[in-house]
Amino acid sequence: MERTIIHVDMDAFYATVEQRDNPDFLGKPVIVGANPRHGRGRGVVSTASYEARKYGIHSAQPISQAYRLCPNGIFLPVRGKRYVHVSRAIMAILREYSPVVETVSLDEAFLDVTGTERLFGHAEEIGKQMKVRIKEQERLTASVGIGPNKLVAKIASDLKKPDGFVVVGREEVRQFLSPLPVSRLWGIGKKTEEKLANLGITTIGELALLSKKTSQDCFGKLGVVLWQYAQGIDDSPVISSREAKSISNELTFQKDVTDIQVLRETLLQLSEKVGYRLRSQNMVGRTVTLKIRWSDFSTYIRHKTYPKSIFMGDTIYAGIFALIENIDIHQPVRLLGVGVTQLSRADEHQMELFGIENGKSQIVDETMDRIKNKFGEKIIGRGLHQSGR
Amino acid sequence: MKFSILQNDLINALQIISGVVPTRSTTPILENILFDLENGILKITATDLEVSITTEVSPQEVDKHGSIALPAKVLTEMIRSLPEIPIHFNLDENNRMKITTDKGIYQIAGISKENFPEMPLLSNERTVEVSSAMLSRMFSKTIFAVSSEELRPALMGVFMQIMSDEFRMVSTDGHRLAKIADKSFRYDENPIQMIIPSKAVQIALKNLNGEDTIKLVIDDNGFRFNFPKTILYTRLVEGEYPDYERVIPRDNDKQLTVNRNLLVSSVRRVSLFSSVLTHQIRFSIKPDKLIVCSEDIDIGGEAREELDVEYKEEPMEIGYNAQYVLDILKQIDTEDVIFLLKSPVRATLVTPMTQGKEESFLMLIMPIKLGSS
Repeated sequence: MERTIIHVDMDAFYATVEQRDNPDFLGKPVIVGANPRHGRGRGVVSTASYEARKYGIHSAQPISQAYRLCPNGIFLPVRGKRYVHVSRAIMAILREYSPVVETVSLDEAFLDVTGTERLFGHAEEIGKQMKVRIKEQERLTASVGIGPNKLVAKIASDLKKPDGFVVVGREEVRQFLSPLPVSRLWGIGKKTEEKLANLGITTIGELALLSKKTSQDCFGKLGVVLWQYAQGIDDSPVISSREAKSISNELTFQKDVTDIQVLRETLLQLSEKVGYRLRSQNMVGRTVTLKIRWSDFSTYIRHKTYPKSIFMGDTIYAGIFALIENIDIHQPVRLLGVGVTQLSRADEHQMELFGIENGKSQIVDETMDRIKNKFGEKIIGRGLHQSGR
Repeated sequence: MKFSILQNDLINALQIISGVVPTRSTTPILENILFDLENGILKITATDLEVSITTEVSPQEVDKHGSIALPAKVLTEMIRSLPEIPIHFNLDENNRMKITTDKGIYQIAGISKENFPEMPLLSNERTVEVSSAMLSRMFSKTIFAVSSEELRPALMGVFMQIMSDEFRMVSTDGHRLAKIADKSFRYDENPIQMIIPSKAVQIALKNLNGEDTIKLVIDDNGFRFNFPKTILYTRLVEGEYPDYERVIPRDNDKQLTVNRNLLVSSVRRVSLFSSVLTHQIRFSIKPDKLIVCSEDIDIGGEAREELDVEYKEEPMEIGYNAQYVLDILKQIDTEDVIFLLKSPVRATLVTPMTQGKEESFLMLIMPIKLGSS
């Protein structure tokens, strides 16, 4: 069936929320991210306002570099809760236009509006309405892309940022993609881009001219996908997601770490934070995720899934511990992350006949939660035995 | 080794044992089956080291005794696809088995018997004779609730208790439980209890038909079923079975009686609209009225059905995993089924309307705790 997909992408979301909340910041370079510590800070930029981007600052850039580029910029910490709150309001607007809304992140969503024309008019009309609603209700701008699939919609929304609005009709897809650089496509990183450049291919149009077989010979499985993308083909469905998909916590070290004991202690702290956040949001999860970023910036991610719901710091850590035990710490660690996914509501869960979950550990966590709720999250935590368990 | 056998006889024997052969094993020899031809009888054996099975079949003609292990999959598939004709087997000195029929000639490489694990011997064994029909009924009423979770290995089998005046089986996965007992059973020696792995139970169920009684031979580590032509051996699941009596409620005094078939159909339809992750459905119980409903907020579906039931107590809302409810209802043989309830956060006891003679059968289902909304 021919589909119509809308991609909505908030413009410099965290930064514009900050500017909206504090009119003094309007028109000024705002950088949301890690503490720059006068140029010695580690961690990265989360979002830079358009004013800051003029200085060459962009997201994922080391915060120290951003500081050097614009020492007088307004550097702000990430106010996660605030953005979640605003994001929910925006997603609620989007859901009025289609039951199938896939939230990719706080500031980005796909809508499948196939067949909703009768209710809301053409996709173009829906896109315009959504932009107006977000502007009026939340005083924020969104860029909207409309196309026959997710790939085209996403590229379209990105093309005229900020406050963009690009519609690509079914027949215009090839023509639309053709002049764009290959790096716009999903799955093309630096290496693939270089490899393509060596073949004399820099635009999507040039890539589209390759035969499917040649593309496959050069890039294997990825080649087939890239070839399809270059033709503007993408069948991936919009998967509606109502609730947050994961709760996670990360820490970038001030200085890269090799000491396994320090890594374990950090992971325990992160596990406890995640457990606390799970419990305070009344959620439980099934899968724990360990993320390690090495000093060369390469990232390592591993998962462990439990047959039962987890919500306690030490159960999360037990999973993380099992994962890290199997990892060769072959180079210094820059960042650690702990996450829990496959979330569901804690107050709705399959109960146990033998009630094994109400052990000592849960009492410890409940007591600590009460203390944290009263005095703040940093006041108390678990300690670690030398063995790391 | 040289013999001739009818396709039908051989495939029947292969089907008895093929459930034991592991599909993928780190020990490749286990993907073979052992042919052992002795005294005019062909014994065929398969094992996965936990469960072993040997069955006997009589060839039409025996020329030369011998033994060989042959790849299970290709052999079984090949024999199955032949029509009902005689098959001639002839093993050469290089362990190659030549199979000849009217249709053609086939050859497979075998492995000598020494490489095939032997069936474990039992020590200090005790023998119990039980009715086949009883064993079969009790296994089939309990196997559904066996856990498949390796976190708690003791729950991965059926708990069998042989007592002086009762033969009992229990299974649970921590969310539901089944307990069935035959009270006409008598046993004079010390009570025995053991956990039988579910794979062995499944294979035993296939072989439990016809015969009046069957001999169970038991020692500390293993357990053998002596069927007339088949011997099934299994290692026992190690570990302590949980104190299940503790979780069987004694004071569930709110009785809901409902027609089994009507409830099965309702739950089946309503569950189609429940979340695929939790299969959560809701029983809204009112005097003489049961409303079964579900909703899936992700896809925006919901369903609701009303049933006439017998219920005299105060209204109650209780959540269940629909799959668990269906599994339990499947075990009920009577027209009506009884749900005995206490509260939405306590185990529900489910029994047939009437118990069989000298039988006691009950099941438990732990509810899903419902949210406050």
